[in-house]
Parts: sequence; structure tokens; C-alpha cells
Amino acid sequence: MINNSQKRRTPRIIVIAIVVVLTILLSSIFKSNVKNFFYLTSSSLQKSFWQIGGNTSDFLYSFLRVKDLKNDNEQLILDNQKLLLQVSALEDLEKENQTLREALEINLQKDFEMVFSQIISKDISEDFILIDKGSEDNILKDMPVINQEMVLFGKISEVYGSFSRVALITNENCVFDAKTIGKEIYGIVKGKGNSNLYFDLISREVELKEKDVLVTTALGGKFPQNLLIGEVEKVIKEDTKPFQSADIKPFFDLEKTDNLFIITNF
Amino acid sequence: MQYKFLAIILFFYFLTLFQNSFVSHFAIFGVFPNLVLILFCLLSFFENSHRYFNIFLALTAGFFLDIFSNSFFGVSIFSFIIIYFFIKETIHFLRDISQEYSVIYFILTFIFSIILYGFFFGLFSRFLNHSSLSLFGGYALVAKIAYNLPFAVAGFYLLKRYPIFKNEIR
Repeated sequence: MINNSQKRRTPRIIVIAIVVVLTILLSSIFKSNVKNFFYLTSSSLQKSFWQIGGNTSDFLYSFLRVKDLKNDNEQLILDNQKLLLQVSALEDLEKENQTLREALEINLQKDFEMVFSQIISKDISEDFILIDKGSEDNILKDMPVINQEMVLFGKISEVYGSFSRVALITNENCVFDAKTIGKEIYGIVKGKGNSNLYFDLISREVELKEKDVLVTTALGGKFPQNLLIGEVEKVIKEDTKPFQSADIKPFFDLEKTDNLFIITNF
Repeated sequence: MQYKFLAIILFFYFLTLFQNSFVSHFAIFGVFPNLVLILFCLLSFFENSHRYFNIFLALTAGFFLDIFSNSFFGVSIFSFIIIYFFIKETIHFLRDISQEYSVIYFILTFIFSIILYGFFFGLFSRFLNHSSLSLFGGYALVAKIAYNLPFAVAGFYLLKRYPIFKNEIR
């Protein structure tokens, strides 16, 4: 009886094994085409799911944060006042800058060339998103991805025909140079996975503080300079380590973002 | 029978889309429920111990997760097949102790399934993508278990109360 059962199971297991190996092998060989086909056929549905999900999470989040809204509002008023002061100072600098440009007769205002795209989904393996522009739109690997407020999201990690996968800056393999605004403190930003980010290799002599804002630098050539990254959340300074580091709160917010821009030339 | 295969393929396809595009908005500490894994574990847990139909589920669910993720192709298929045999063997062993479909048994098998899935994901990523992804996930693993478990337990009671695959449950 057992032998009969075993006899019946053996060919089934062989068939299953062959199917598994063939599926993996064929799909791996034609990975790009297979993925592009599925992304193409499901992109409209995915876009709808993404927008409904975003609206639903915003709605639920506003309920959860009712208590904090008053405090947030007060903080925003204070921040706004500080920013107005900074804007005023920057306006003076801009005038000075304009005068210098005119004097030098050169055009330093070089805009990026950008391609508009929409987010379709977020990867289950986290810190990747899928956008609806690909090689057909001249998108290439490693191009930076930002939003309209110049907040850096990440870079293109994989390109398909009509779609691309973006590795977010919080991805564990993402490493790039950054500096703080104002104090010009230089260091390396590294992704920690699960939407976490940290600022490392900062000299112990400099004074890094919470809320210091980080931007990209042109060093390394990965990203254009002055793209917004995030703000310092917690400074970590240990006597045993030659450098200080800091946990960073990224500025990008996937829940509130539908549209992005890919910088195709910088 | 063909309709059942087609229904399962379509269901897992839409569930994967729903998970990556809708559920991903509800991330906590960067983690969101893996509905595909939850459903796969539930159906494998409730499958008659003499049947091996759900190997097809492992292929389908794994295939769609691989399509819509950045990982090396085949990681999810491979992981789901291992998880499937793990659940079958565990259930076989646990049923020798008690004949009931205990929620404790399910919670234990589900937690180990999440660990196994994370382990294979990390292992493949390390060797094939040269990623530094942790094999056991650290605190993220705890977050994953904590966030997935309520959905899995709710699904357990739902499936126990309303078995959609009646012939699978003894």
C-alpha cells in the first residue's frame, strides 16, 4: 500500500520539480520581457490601487493624528517665521548673485532635464518603487529620481521597456556623499533598509545638531548637488569611534507622493 | 478543475497587485503585511495532509511575488515550496499530538514561515545581488511578525468558520 502510494507520488514530484525549474529558468532568461509584460497589463490597475491606498492612508492617518495637529500647527507657525527670515536673507543673496552673473556674462542657471513619471507600486522587499517610465522614454540605470520640491527619492536600479524600478535612498545598498546646509558638514549617507537612513563618517570636531538639513553634494557624481535628503534626528557620538554619525529622517514620503521626476541630464 | 486553477492564478495576481500598490501605503517601520504569504500559509495549513494540490499555490504565489519584486527571479517560488513542505511536515507531526486545527499550531508554523521566507530572501540577495540584506532581519523581523500575525490569525478563524476549500479540510 505504501509502495503504491510512493510509486504514485514519485512521478508527480518529478513533474513538479521539472515545472519549477523550467518556470524559474525561462522566466529568468526572459526576465525583462516577462516583467515588462506584467507591468504593462497591470499598470492602470496598479495606479488606481496606489491612489486609493494613498487617499485611504491619508484619511486614517489624519484621524490618528488629531491630537498632534495643534502642536504641529504651532510648530509650523514658528518654522514659518524662521523661514521668512531666511527667505529675506536669501533674496538679498539672490540679488547679489544676479549682479555677479550679469557682471561675468555667463549663465549659471542650468536646469535639469527631467522626465515626469508616476509611482505604480512599492516592492514587498522594501525600499524599491516601480514607476511608469522605462527605456522607451530614454531612462537609464542610475538616473536620480526627485519630486517637484527637489527632494531626493533614489536612483533608477533596473530599467524595463515601459517601467523602471527605483532604489530608494533608504535601500541598504545606497551610499552617497552629503553635507548639511549652512554648516557645510560633510559625510556619507547610507541606507539602512525599512525606510531608515543614517549619516556617517562625520568628523568628531564639527558640531552636528538635530534638525540640521542634509543635501547632496556633487562629490562622487551620483547625484546633482543640493537635492534635499532629510534632517538629523539623533546624533550618535561615541568615544570609542573615530567618527560621529546620525540617524536621518528622510524628507520623502511615499504615502503622499504620486508623481516623480527622473533627472535625465545634470 | 481547470477553472479552479484559473481562479487561483487570477486571485493571486490581483492579491499581489493589491498588496504592492494598496497595502504598501500602510507600512509601519517600513513593514507591511504580506497578504500573499498569509493566504498561502493558511491554505497550506488547512490542506488535507494526503493532498499536495497547494504546491501549485506555491508556484503561482511565488511567481507573482517574484514578478512584482526586485529580488532574483525564483526566490519566492523556491521559498514558498520549502515553506509548503515545512508546513506539511509540521502539521503531520503536530496532528499526531492533537487532531485539532489549533490556532497555536498555526501561529507557530506561520512565525517559522515568515522567518524562513526572510532567511531565503536574505540568502539569495546576499549571494546573487551582492546585497547586505540581513539573513534574519533583526528588529524588522519582529515588526514583520507583529504586523502580519493579527491578519493571519483573523484569516485562520475566518477560514475555519467559512472554509472556502471545503474539500481541503477534513
